[in-house]
Amino acid sequence: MNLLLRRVIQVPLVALLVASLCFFLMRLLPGSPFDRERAGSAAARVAMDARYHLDQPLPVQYLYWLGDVVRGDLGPSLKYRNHTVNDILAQTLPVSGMLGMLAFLVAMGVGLPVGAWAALRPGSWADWGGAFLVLLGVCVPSFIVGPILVLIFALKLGWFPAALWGGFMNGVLPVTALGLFFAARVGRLTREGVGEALRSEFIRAVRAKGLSDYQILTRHAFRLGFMPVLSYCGPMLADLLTGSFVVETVFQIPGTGTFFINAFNNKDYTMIVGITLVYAVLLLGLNLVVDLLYVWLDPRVRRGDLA
Amino acid sequence: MNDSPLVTGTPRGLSPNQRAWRRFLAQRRAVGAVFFLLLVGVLAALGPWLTGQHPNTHGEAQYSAPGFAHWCGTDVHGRDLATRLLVGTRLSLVVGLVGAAVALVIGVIWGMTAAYLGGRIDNWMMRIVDVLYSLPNILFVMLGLMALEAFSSKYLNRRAPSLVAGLHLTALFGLIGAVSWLNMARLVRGQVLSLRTRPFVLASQALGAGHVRILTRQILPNILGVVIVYLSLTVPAVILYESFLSFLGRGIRPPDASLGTLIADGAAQLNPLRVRWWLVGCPAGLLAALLLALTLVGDGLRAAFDPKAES
Repeated sequence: MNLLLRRVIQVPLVALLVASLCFFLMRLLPGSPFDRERAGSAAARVAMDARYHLDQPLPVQYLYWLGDVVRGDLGPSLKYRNHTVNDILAQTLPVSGMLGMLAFLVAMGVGLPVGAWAALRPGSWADWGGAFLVLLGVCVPSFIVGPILVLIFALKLGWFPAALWGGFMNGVLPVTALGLFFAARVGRLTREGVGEALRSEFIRAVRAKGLSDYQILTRHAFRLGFMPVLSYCGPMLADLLTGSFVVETVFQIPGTGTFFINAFNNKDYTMIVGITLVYAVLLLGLNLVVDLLYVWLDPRVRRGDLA
Repeated sequence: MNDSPLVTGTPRGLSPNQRAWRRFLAQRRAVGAVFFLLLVGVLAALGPWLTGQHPNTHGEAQYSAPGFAHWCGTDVHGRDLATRLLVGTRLSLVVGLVGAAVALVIGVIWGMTAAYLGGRIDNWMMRIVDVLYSLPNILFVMLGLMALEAFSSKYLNRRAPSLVAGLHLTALFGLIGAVSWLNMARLVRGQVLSLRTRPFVLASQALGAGHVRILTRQILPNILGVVIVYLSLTVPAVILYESFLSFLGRGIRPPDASLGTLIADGAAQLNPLRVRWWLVGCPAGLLAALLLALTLVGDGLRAAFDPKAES
């Protein structure tokens, strides 16, 4: 449990470190965020700098920022003057979260059965077809799938709306575009993992015991074959996040990713730092959950054999 | 190579790496992918010379469909898409190779150092890798490029615009490589850990060989196979990174083309009134084919270097 506690404490610390590095990088860049403003009076500029503490030395600015962050205030957006970064995150994070979660479910819901099915029947047309689809899926990232889906299903066939977010129909194409790539990865890993498990000695033993293919798969092979998929979940979460940048851009979804990319174009420093911090907390936390699941599912790690 | 004793069916006198190489050549799919990549590489290298067009010159024929004059049609400015595709492919391939090389160097050095030094240093080095692994590293590339842009626009832009473009490109290559080394480091560390206590390494140590000599002469040749396999898997990943960044407008800057920017341009032209499929279809198809071929080569290498294939 000591280890667990250390990991839990590590999450906010590492996230804060990443955000702090980001903060200093942004502040050290030449020029002020207000350089591109229409030239106002010098007094207005001074007032503006004072309002955002830009007239203070850097360490003082950092302490101001740190104090706000610890109290949960990510500061005002430099671009959208009437909104704080918190406002924007409160509006956009549920959208991105929903998109990411649905894509994750698609990845698991499609990848696991297809991979397991292909592994059960090695050499059959299902195995080859599955392997081919999986290979294709791995090579066709979301920024290819997205526009192609729009081209075919929205513009040619008119089945789904081409953009925006809202009802079920709006969600189909973006979730497919985001989830398909990961479904393919998951399918590939499942096929390899379950296939390897099926070839191992203990499976022969349970087969000799008289279990059916289905029972072997669900009770034994799948548990072992799932482990590579689980350890892929960590990087997958990070990739889902960056993938959401693309999908949100293609389908004009008002999610956090869109605002994040725009913040780079607008040089909206507070927004970049704030969203980076939230992303870091989110990913480090989710990775911790994945690691805990790993410990929970793998008896060898649980008993400390591998630790 | 031809007069080797393979004729008798017994691969005598071949190193494990040589045997792996033979196994690779026996795989038709992977060898086919290699030929495809070579073909694309040659076409991309010839580029504008082959199509007789300039990639960035605006033309009269706006949005013309693919035909004899323009093999893949033209874009909004009447630029020849086929030429832009070849130039973009050239860039993608170079990014893939350079980025993977950077990742290779960092990853191998990091992994080897961690495993060889062991103990607390190893622990810390791998903790860093774990933490980086769970962060979206493409973010660091975006931040780095943004910082470079801000500095260069302040200090360099007026004096040397071409230098700025070159600097941006170099930074893009380097940064992508600098975030792609994590898998390599983990893998190399695992290999070195298992090799470190093997008899031949201990023998070398007993004979008085220094650390550097052991690492370069004993360990490195033995991890070569695994490294090659992962290198081949890193190349498509790096190409994907670059296309991704360019798609979001954070990578290659116009008017230069990359497969990512071409897909983004094509996607921006999608509208319900006139469907100009070639603007998306051609770059997307080419990138997918490129990634597919690279993945097939990687899979072939993996099968060839798999220790279980020895028997």
